Amino acid sequence: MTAEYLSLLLADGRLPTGAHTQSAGVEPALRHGMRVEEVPAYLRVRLATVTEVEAAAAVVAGRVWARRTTGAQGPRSGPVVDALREVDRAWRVRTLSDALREASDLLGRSYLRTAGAVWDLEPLTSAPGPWCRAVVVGVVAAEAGLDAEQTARLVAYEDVQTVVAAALKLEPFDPSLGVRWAADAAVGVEALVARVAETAEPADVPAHSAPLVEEWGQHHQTSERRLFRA
Amino acid sequence: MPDSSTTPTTTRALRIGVAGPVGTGKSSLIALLCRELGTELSLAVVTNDIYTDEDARFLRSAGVLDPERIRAVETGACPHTAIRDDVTQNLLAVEDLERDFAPVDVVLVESGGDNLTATFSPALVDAQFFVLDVAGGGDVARKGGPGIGRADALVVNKTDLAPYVGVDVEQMVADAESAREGRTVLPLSRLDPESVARVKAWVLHTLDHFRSGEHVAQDPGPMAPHFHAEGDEGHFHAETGETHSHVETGETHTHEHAHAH
Repeated sequence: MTAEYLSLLLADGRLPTGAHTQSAGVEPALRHGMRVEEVPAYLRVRLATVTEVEAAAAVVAGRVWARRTTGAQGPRSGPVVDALREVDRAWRVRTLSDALREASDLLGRSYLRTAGAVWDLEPLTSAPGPWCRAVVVGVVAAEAGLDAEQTARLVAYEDVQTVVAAALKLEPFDPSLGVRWAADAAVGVEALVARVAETAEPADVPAHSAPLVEEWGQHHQTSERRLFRA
Repeated sequence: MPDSSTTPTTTRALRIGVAGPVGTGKSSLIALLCRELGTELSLAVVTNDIYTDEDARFLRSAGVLDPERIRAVETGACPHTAIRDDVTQNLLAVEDLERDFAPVDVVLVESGGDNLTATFSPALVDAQFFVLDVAGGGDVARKGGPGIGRADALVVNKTDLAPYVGVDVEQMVADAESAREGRTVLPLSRLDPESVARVKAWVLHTLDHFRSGEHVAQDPGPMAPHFHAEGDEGHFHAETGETHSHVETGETHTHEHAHAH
């Protein structure tokens, strides 16, 4: 019902959350020698590693939030924030690069700022941050009525489109090729959705890492003349 | 690293945008304001250079402000977006500065050097400068555009270069004034202390009005301005249906000073 519509709204690149400042690691990757033809492979790597971690964390955060709204969690404030903090920590310990953690925290803030003005996200909005983007997206998705699969798909889709859009800006090519890459990524996205949809606890969030993605992200923090934050 | 609290700050500074084409002197204007106002006001700066950091580094190396008070925001090659339709990253940077250096009187937000159509959203800044320079050609002011026509103040920079680039400054300023229907025009040369004093006075004046609640943020708009014959009584904004006099808004004060020389 409305969840389907709202998942389109949340997935739309025009959602004002500052996402246009991000390249999902494409800018540092291209600088470190990845060729633009390798973007589809880059997408597969992300979907199998960092994006899966983020999607799984978002799914768990969504579950925590959904429990809260049905009241099964008990008292409304403290426990939900504590539980979300645990999810946040789970994502954080699986993300080695502090540059990538900070980029995610910044996006989490701006996402929460926008979504908190649209939906009632208390007590998350008044709880001290930082909150990684995965937790915020998971909470917002749950509040908008998205289920675990829709939430995971939202995270994965956004990552794919961030990669493709940034690649187009940095090394322009026929834009229809980018659309094809994004369409072809559907297989990888749906596989990710199937893997993470049942994730229930912070400890269940997978710990895949992509060392090059993290290393490049780390270098990018201090690189000059960059267009994108990360 | 920054404490990413999502709670908005309570100390609200006056936020002034600085927009205008590449190379017209936006960073220099900010450096000048920091130099002129840095001792009497608590200032902070957010830069939005297309290639991040360039402007922030220029300002830090200018030594006019504590480098910690100057922060760069990436725009993902979308400088328009970052100051107009998705201002979230800039807002966070502004609020962080207001919180980290509270109380801050004025935060200056520099747009990434862009073309004539980029202006700030009132959701990000309370007032904005649009900066042109004489070297860009004397006819630019006449061509108009939202920033030239309706930014709170138009700076016509580098007037000392006019003889070398064949521009009649008085004509250029007169064109700008007519395009702006009497809104503030500030000719500026860093070599002319009086022109510097007028820019400084405009900021202080705007700050006073901001604090007294008289200042209302205006959107210069995404479109070219409409031109109307100038009248002494005030003028009509087709977009808002408002008629107002610049005497009431106090703009006449700085406006007159702009002609004092």
